[in-house]
Amino acid sequence: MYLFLNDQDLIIQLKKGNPEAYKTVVNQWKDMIYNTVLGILQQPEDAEDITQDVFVQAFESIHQFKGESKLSTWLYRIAVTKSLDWIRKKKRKKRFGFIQSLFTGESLEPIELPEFHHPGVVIENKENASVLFQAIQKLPENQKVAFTLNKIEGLSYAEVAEILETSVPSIESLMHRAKQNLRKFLADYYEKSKD
Amino acid sequence: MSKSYNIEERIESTLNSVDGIQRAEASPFLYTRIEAAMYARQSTWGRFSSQLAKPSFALATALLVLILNFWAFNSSSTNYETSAGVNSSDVEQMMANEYSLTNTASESYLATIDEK
Repeated sequence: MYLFLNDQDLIIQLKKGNPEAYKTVVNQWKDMIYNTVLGILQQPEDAEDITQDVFVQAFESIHQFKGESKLSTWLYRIAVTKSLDWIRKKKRKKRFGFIQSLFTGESLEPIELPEFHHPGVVIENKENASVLFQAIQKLPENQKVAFTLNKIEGLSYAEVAEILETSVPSIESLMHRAKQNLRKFLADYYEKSKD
Repeated sequence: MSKSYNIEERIESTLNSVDGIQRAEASPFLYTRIEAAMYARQSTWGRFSSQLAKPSFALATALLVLILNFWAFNSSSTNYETSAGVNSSDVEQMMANEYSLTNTASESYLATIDEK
């Protein structure tokens, strides 16, 4: 079994097409990529597919990786891009379905995400976390990604800033706005559920 | 007052519900799936390139190129005639008239000889 000394060595072996290097990358980072994608999509089956696509794309475009950032940062970026693409595609489909229903006259069933339970949440928080995930879905894209990377994936503001190619103060501002919006959504939710 | 306090409390506990969350684990078969996906992509191109290398494919392509050339040549000459508004029989007729080689001219010439 080949032991990789560092990221540079690993990247060299990836560029050479060494299967051991592929396996090492997948085993080392599969959970963090899956957890990030799952946090954004909130769909376990689709998150598995997207995670697979992230690694396939990373291996196929490894020659374009210049080494300006860490390999993990690059993988996170691919994961975020692919997840957002998936959400946009789903929204487009939904819009197209609505337009189609106007012409065909068929009533359109609203496609709502099923209640999501993250497997890493402790049992006593399951119910609250499920409500929080519903609220996260309503956030604008950049706030959703920043919140997911920080709160669900557990990355620091500096790491989130590196992934999103922005500054730490702008991540702080994004997180502040995300929390404000979540408070509003949750206040609405609990007000309605009391009635 | 107590109602809004209660809601505030619930919001706080909901926002804190993901504190200390554990990372979700990907399927243990993920690498196998990735390997299969990469192999499928590579083999699609591999199958395509091996088809290209076959002599029968090369021969069929050459024949297709010849047919296309023949068709293009034919259609371009037809287009030329149409665009000029003159076809080959018109050209022959014009030449015959120019050099007095029309049927009527030769017949009248022969008739003149006969008369003589």
